[in-house]
Amino acid sequence: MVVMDEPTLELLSRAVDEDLDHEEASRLERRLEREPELAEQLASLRASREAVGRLADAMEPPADLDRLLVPLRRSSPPESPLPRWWLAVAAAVVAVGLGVAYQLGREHAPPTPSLQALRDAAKTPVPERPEYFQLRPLPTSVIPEDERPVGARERLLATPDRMPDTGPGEPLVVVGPLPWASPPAGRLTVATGRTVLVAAVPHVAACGSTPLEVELAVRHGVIAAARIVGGLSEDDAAACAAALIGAVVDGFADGTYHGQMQVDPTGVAPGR
Amino acid sequence: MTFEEVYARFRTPVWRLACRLTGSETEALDATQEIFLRVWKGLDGFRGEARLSTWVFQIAWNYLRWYRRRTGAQPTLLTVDGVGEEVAAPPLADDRPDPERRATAAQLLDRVEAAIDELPEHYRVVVWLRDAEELSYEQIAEVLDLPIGTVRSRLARARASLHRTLDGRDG
Repeated sequence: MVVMDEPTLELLSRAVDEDLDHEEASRLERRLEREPELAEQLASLRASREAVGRLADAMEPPADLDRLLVPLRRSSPPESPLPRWWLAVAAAVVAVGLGVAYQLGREHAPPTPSLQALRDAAKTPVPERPEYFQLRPLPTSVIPEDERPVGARERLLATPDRMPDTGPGEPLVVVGPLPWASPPAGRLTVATGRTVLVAAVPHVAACGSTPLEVELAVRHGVIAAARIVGGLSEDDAAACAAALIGAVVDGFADGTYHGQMQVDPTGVAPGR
Repeated sequence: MTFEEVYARFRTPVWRLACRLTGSETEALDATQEIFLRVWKGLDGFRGEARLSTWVFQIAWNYLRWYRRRTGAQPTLLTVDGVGEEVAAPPLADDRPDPERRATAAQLLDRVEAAIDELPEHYRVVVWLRDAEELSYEQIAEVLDLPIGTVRSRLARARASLHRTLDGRDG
């Protein structure tokens, strides 16, 4: 290959992209007639460009990509950033078992229209093998907490076999619905394959297709608070949160995450 | 535009860019999730001042650059089969059986891939955005936050370097 000066190289590269104006193109045309090595170089750059294009055309993402992003594809973006003040309000602490019983034992308000739509969506056939998602760490988990960028607390529900990873006091945002094994209502199957019986509450089943965003705060291995962020009514949010926490606990139950479960009432059941 | 539409349109380009900049399909999957989470969160606020593709690639580049810087990850070549082997370019009129032709074409793509992945990152991203994703110079300048002149010169050097590498392997 001929070594050429930078301006000429850039000229050829721009010619490949047809970025030259009329005058530049004419000048280059005349040079190409006089300098065959220049023409050869131009052809080479064109060939390289085409090769890169062919490589891109041949690249197809694995199907896993779509599976991992299913929760987002079903969801709507949040309207506002998640508030964090509630994390400081850990007033009344309820053991999760009691919380579940308490929350799910209550009468629930009629479903909101949006929830009804979600319920309708939930009637779509359940795949033979449910789509399982589990909390998983991001690459950010290897980075010291104080060095993480804004947004590093964001996490997706994703593949099984990896445990969640949150630093002390670091809220964990879970985006997307947990998969529900449709009827019977209230039966939640998590990625571990275990089943958590939360209660026979139809509202819980409706959450199966709800773009559900839950913020969990994990402190020293304990889920210190949980809060539903989304368009659900308060009662539905409470039911979903209680069930979800149960599911998460189940997912943690292999020994990594133990401890007292605490539910922040300001998040789960506002005003109660 | 809904997230679903944005995802459908950019899932492959974003994943490809992530592959090129992380050098690992697994990491590219993680990164693509991260990038689309950011797209998802920001879509409501996207006002259309920039082109959608510029906006999405900006998010992707910012994330991938941060990721590379923080992890110190050096790209490992995704597919290097055939590197170093002397494989003649297939003639235009090729009467060999299809499987053989396909195999040769695949080897050539592997060589191109390896050659791209050997480029320094600041060259690799420019050549990829231009030649693979077909962004304009202006868009690339905006995505990478560079003067357009820098984009032109880096692209020229990247293409020349790419060609030198491929040329060397042919020989």
